Amino acid sequence: MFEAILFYSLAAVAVISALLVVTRVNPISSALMLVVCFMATAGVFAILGAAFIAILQILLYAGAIMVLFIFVIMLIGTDPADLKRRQMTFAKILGAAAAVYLAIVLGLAAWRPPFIAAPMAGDAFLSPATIGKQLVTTYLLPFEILSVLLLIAIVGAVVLAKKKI
Amino acid sequence: MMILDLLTALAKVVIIFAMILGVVPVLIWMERKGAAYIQDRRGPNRASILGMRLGGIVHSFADALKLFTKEEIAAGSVSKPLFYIAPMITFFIAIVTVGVVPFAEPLRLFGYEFNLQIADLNAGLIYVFAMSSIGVYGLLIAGWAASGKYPLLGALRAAAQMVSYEVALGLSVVAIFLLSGSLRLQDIVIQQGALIWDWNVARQPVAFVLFMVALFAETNRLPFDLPEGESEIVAGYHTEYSSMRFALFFMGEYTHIIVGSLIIATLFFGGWQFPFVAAELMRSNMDGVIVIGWPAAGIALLMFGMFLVSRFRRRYRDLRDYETLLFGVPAMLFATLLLIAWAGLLTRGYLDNIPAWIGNAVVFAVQLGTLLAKALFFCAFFIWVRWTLPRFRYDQLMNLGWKVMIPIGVANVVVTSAVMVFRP
Amino acid sequence: MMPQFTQIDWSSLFNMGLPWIVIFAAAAIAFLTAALVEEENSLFTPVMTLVAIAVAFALSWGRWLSPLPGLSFGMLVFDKLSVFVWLMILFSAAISVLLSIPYLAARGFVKPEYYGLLLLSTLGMACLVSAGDLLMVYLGIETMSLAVYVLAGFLRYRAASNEAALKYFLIGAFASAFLLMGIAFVFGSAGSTNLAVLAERSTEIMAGEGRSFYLFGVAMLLIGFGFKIAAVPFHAWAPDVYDGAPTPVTVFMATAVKAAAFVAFLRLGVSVFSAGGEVWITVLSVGAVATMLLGNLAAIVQENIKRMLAYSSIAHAGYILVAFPSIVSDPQGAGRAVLFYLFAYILMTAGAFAVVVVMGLGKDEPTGISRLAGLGKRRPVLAATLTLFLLSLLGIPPTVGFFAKYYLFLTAVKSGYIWLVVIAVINSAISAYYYLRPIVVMYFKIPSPLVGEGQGEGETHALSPFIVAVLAITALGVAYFGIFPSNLLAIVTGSF
Repeated sequence: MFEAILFYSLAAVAVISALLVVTRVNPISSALMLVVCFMATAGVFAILGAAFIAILQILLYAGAIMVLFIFVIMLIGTDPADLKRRQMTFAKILGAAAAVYLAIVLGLAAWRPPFIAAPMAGDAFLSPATIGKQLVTTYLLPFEILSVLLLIAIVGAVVLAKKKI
Repeated sequence: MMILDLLTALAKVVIIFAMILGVVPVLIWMERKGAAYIQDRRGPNRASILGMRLGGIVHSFADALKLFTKEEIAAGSVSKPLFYIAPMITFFIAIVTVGVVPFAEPLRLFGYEFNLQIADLNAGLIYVFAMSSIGVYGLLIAGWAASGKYPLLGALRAAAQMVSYEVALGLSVVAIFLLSGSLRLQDIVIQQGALIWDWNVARQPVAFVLFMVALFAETNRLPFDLPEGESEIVAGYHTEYSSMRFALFFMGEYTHIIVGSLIIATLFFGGWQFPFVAAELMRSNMDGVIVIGWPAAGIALLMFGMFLVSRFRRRYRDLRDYETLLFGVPAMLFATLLLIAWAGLLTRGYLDNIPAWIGNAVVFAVQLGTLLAKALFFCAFFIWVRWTLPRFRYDQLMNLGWKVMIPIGVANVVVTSAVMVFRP
Repeated sequence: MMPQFTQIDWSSLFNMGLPWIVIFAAAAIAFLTAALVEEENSLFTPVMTLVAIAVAFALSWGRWLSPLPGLSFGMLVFDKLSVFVWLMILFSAAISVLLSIPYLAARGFVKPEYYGLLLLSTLGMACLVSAGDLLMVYLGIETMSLAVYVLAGFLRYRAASNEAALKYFLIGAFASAFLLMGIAFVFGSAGSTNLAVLAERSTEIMAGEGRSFYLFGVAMLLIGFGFKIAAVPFHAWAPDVYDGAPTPVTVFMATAVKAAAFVAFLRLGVSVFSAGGEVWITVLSVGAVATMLLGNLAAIVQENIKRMLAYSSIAHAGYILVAFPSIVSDPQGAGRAVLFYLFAYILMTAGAFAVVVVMGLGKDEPTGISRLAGLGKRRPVLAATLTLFLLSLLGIPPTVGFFAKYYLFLTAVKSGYIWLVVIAVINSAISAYYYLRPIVVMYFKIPSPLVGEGQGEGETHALSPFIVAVLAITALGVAYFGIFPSNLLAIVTGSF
């Protein structure tokens, strides 16, 4: 019961903040709302028993990536007066309608009560040691490719942005 | 049972937070006195309540009173909600970090176990990093919401600095994971043992230095206090703040120092381990510990009282002159009582077989005291460094972070793992 | 539930991955050169890159010839198909490198990072074509694309190049989000991301409770791949990006990136999509028709040969899609036809773009079709090769383009999609207009000096030996496999 209340409130926070991300005019507000959204998602992870994943979510997304996002937004410095007010256009209405339609279809397709709760993954399954071992056995190859990907990202950023390369 | 668990959890939170918040004024006092001694002056010593000055600590309370009663100012251009929430975030993040620090071994009393640690996470250390990484939001939001040049510059500096040094902070601790094989702080402490040369500071000196330096940057303390560098950008991110909102930033900084010191003590200095005396050893020889420890405490208290009394001078010709006597005489009296009680109990044989719960409680207290002593030492170290070293220039800061500390951190991890693999 | 760990056979993985390691080492050397060596105006990096590609090619060729049926490491599958496509990718990469040398030198923008990024991109493609798991598909696509985003914007001083990079990046990121969402839904309904497991279980899932989720996931994956292969309606980025990117990078995008994406799509089609049955066939047929029509019709009105080739590449994606509905009934035939087409397409497109590189060797990129006026007189050989490539792209019989289209349409007819083939043939007829137009301009139009026609700035240079090599190889390939298509067919049959 307690868990259900916690879950629904966190989920509500996540959804509402995600909506605010796209509706705020000020980019800083949007970014901060995204941080809130990540926190709420991390909370949902924690309820599912994946404390490690929850902490990583906060550490990486909220703590590192979003800080840099906000840093860049601040550095570029948008004056609130320069920001255009949002306008309704036909494309936007159409897109929103399509999104709502898809959501309803998916929701109807998925709505099959009574729901069976998925078994909780054990503590051993989600411990840092297990995740670490999985990373260097089953998921070693993706892990290595990921490092290549990050190398490309670093070199690419330098190539595109540095004054003199 | 459920209610009891909930109450215990609540009690832990209250005890630990009260402890941290109680140390904050002491730390402020230490800072001001420390600064004074380093600069060869006396420091705050005037404020008094009925002649009691407590060596100047009353100034901390006077400060608090002053900040409480000051007018709160928010300039017209600030974005209000964010401006108000920023100091709260800073303080909140700083204090919740303490949630995973183990203050002592679990205390067993009458079949019930009490663990003075709010959450015993299996990824405890990562939690510490997560919290320290989102700690920057308070500063960022504060600097941005104030909508001024200097606050914004301060916020930008804070963001860049904290993100940069986080990498070094993380790398320095990877070596510790490798040694202890666990991210649970309790495991890391137990694994270090009671011998000083088994503590991580001896086994991983490089990691310790890196961690220490990175922690200074993370707490925005000198020599890395560029986000508030007063000679360049007024007061950085908290330029526009006043009254209690400013005080929250202030307390946040000191809380950060305390928590950081606790983490250093836990990771590198054996946590609650009393040097050279393992908890088991203490527990099995409890009668000896009490027989020796009790009079030692009494004698120490007696000497403290004598010292205070000997400092009695008629200097001000008012109530303040009697402060030494006010504290010295009761201390001496109490110490005498202690010694008499000890002698009485010893001769009647009450100290021969101590019940287990007293032993456990004493061990618990010793461990708690040990950890706090270690942490206070590092707090003092923070203060010492602040009043000794000059501030970095910004490019120097970045060079140090990216070009010196991170390579050293990586090398340390590689060397440590190589040793772990090839060690017979 | 206790976690399970997959053990990896390291020696055989190392053995199979050796070409990749060579490529990665070469990229690392390129980056180190960029960081440590002051004098960058040398041939060292490109030559080193070419050597690395040659070594990797030779090693992979040996693996293709060896009779091993294929090795699976769970995440990666090394079979004949992946090795063959990897060879094609290396070939395209080599062509791009060869074209890049004079191209970058003419602009005074020689940077070793360029070649390093190119190599790492091929590494991503290798993962993509060998992927045995949706996770690897995603990572392969990201690795491949991220490097190409940077390469597209490599000429930082050109606004068009920046625009191309930004457009490509934003659209690509958007596509990745779809892809990831699709993977999440497929995983949610099937409980696995492994392609082999999915192939086994997809029919069962489609019949069961997870049907709607699975279909939704598959749709998302389709959208993601639609962006990557520039199929209508996800094509809008392609002309601007192809036009704005440096021409050698355009070659790379049009050949290697497209081949890798198509082969991964094919693999997914066989294992994941084909369970969709009717839905899959309908969606793909409609996509194929739309892609062909739009590509061909838009290409007609283009005045710039680079843009024209971009739309033509969209049209060709449409032709390839014609074979995809057949996967459900005849996966082997469809796969072979697609491979044959891709190989032919790489040869013709690379050759055609090589000529564009020659035209645009000046500071700006004068690639208007009218610039070709009189080329038949000034540069008869160059004009003849371009004619050959254009005819092959059109699909005139003695060229490889004809047989590629023939096998493709044959597969579709065999599986009963005659209406689709009819539309495709009509489209080929439409394409004759814009493929023949440059030929007409080259041979029959007299350049008028007033409007600056003819004499593209680059034409005053002597042809760089690297470009000559590219032209020779591709022209020979187009002609040889056009006269002896059975050789190529044998190779393709051995691969799929």
